[in-house]
This record gives sequence, structure tokens and C-alpha cells, in this order.
Amino acid sequence: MDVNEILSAFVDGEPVEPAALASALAVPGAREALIDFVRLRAAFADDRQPSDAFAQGMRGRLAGRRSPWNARPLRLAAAAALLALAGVGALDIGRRFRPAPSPDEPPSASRVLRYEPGVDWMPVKGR
Amino acid sequence: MPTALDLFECHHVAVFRFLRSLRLPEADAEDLTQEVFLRILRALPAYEDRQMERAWVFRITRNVWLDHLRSRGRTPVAVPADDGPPLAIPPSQAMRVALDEALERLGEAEREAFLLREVAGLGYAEIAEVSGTTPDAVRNRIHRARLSLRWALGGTQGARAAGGQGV
Repeated sequence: MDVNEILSAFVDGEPVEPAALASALAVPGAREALIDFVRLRAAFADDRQPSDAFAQGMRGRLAGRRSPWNARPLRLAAAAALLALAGVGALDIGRRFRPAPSPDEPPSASRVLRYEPGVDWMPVKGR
Repeated sequence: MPTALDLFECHHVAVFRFLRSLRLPEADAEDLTQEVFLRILRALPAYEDRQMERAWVFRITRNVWLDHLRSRGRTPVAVPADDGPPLAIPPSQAMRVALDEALERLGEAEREAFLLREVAGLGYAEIAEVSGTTPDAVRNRIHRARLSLRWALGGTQGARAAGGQGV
């Protein structure tokens, strides 16, 4: 690897062999090369930002248009929840709006007695 | 799993700066940044290699930039005179102009690798992924770019003295 290549990679925080770096730094002019690389970095440093209006507009677009990858499970879960709610609601409505018994009708039986033919209902003597 | 909005929050400033460093006016850089993230939104369901997220974002950025160049017939992009300097902190007007010219004279591969490193902050492996090459080739391209740009800086006295020795 060329001496400058080693220094350049070192400035970029890429892995370099310590021995190769030591050799590169021992070459006349290496210090100046390093300084120039750092000056170049400063010259190209950039603090420009896109406008706030642009960033806000994009956030709105990207938040409003979720990708199917994200939206599909959410939609399925929402549909399942709606179905479950609809089922519970229908049961509740059925209970609330069951027609009241008419006053002319007899009340519903609370006990049922069955007649069984052949059973002697007379009390047995001695008992 | 990041959403397109998450990726926008993480990377949109770097994408914008990278596009600006390619001498795009602010409005065009915003338009292309928008296109980048709309493409990301569409491509996200098919994106699987999440180890190189930043490289993926900048590969899309590069494709958007190349499409932009094609749509303009590869004509140089004019920067309005009142649109501000293409570089952020010029110590002098002369040096800024010299750096701009030196950047323009670089080969496309060197310029791209250098700007992805210095402006977008990508590592060599990420740049290799973006450009479809190897980290070794990226290291070499960035080193060549630095050597070319170094002389536009004015170079230190020692550097000039040692210039013939390859340092």
C-alpha cells in the first residue's frame, strides 16, 4: 500500500497496520500530508440542512403512506378487533331487546312435574 | 424494523448534503431527496439485507442521481450565482474556487467515493456496497482524490517540497 493510502485510510478511521503506519509517518512529508488531509476534511465539512417546510412535508407523506409491510398486520388486527366488537355488540343488543312476555300469557314454568304411569301414589301402610 | 419515516429521520440530512455536494441547487437537492425516500418507501417491503442500511439508502440516492443526470442528458448542472457556495467553509474565495475546479476534474468514481466519505460520512465497506466495488478500490479512489484535491488547498510547504516523493 502506498504511503499516502495508509495515511488517508488512517484519517478515515479505517484499520491500518501499526507497523505500516509507523513506516508511513517516518517518510519525509508525511506530517504535511496528514495536515492537508485534515484541512480537506474541514473544507468539505457541511452544515447545510433542507428547509423545515420540506422536512415537515416529507414526514407527513411518509407517515401517511405506510408501507404494506407495516400496514398489513395493523389492518388485519384492526379488522379482527372490529369483528370481535361487532359480535359482542350483537349479543348484547339481542339480550337487551328480547321481547317482554305478554300479560295474558301464563308465566313460564319454574318446575316441571312428570306423570309416570303405573306408579302407586297411595301411601303404603306401616310407613 | 425501521419504517421509511425512521430512515428519513436518520439519513435525510446526509442525503441532502451529498446531493448538494454534487453541485445541485437547494430546490433540486430537496426534490431528489424526496424522490430517494419515496423510492425507499416503495422498496422497503423487499429490502432484506438490513446490515448495511446506510449503504442501501445511498445506493438508492446514487440511482436517483444517475437517473437525474440521464434525464438532463448529462449536461452540467448550473448553480445559480445567489445559491450560496458549494462548499461550506472556504477560508478564501480563491481556495474555494480551486477546490471546486479540482473536484470537477476528478474522475466520477474518485469524486463519488470522496464525497460519500467526506460529506455523507460512509465507511469504505459502505461506499464499496454503494458503488459496487471493493473496499480496497474505495481506499485507493479516496486516496487519489485527496492527492488531487490537496494541491488545490495550497498544500503545506513541506508537502510541496515532498510532492515528488509520493507523499
